[in-house]
Amino acid sequence: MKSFHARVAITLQGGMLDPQGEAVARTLQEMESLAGTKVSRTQKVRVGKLIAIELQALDVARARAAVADMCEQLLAHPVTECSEILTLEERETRLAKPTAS
Amino acid sequence: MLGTASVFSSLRCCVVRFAGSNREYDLRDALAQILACEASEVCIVDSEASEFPEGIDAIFLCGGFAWGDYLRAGACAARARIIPALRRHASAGMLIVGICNGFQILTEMGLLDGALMRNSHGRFICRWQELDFMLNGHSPARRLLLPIAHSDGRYVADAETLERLKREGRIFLRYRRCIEDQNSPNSSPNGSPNGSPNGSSHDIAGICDEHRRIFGLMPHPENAIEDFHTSRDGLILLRALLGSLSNTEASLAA
Repeated sequence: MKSFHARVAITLQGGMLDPQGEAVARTLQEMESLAGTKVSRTQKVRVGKLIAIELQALDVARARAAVADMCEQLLAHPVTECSEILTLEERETRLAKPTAS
Repeated sequence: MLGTASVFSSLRCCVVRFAGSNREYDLRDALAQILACEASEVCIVDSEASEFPEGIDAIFLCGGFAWGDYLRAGACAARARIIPALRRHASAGMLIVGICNGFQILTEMGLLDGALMRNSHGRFICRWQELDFMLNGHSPARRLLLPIAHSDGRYVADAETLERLKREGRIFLRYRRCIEDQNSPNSSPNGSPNGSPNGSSHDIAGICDEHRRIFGLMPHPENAIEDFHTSRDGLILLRALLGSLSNTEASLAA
């Protein structure tokens, strides 16, 4: 088995109302007007989740399939959310080195 | 009424407690009062059990914040150890009622359609709410006053599902314009044009499955029971749900 590290983004589907995102957007706009920023202006914010997973699998294909399965079974709601595997990297399995005596 | 009373006296109900549930005793005591039995006879089953007691007639999922509502409200609870047994009872046609967090768990399990999302105004709401109750899903409705207390009560479903729920008369509970809003018509904090307190599609506060055996609702009937409560309408709702066990045909036709 090899060790893998995955990062998964869970976001609301396009048309879904996001009260959290709206509140954050309003706050950012308040901060911008307080600071008198002229060079940029927040238009829209959507809040999602970032989930980091460590897992062991035989190979990268099976690791990816396992993470996709996690998204489908639990991490993302099929009616309201989308999931995307942002990164999937193999991590070197660190074996304890025998200490010189 | 005599028939209903005799059925009530022989009913055995079971309340499921998850880590983070907080209305299990309220619900147990309310059911015990309706069934006219000792509270200890309405059992509470821990979600880490893998089976329900023998001979139960109805399962209730109570309010609270099961597994901290982590990930999504009800998401982790819907995968707890007791869930396969709950699914078996559901497919065998047992009466299953999910209240508030219990409703969220039933939608997460896929036993009820749609999903419950963050209130449109983004805030927790806790107040008495007027509702239209129609157990058969069609008018005329009975007006009830029940408490609501939730962050994630905005019912959503795709247009096709909403249409089906309406057509099949499966929307058995709807929000009416709330008391606070009536006192100050312009101070409605929800910004929802339909007057529901959380932005729910079609003002939906409760739905049931196609066989009218699995019910989910956001209000808390178990907290509108006693003389000192603002309303005792919870008794009407819980009695009607339990009564649907005694004469399914009659309640469908009613």
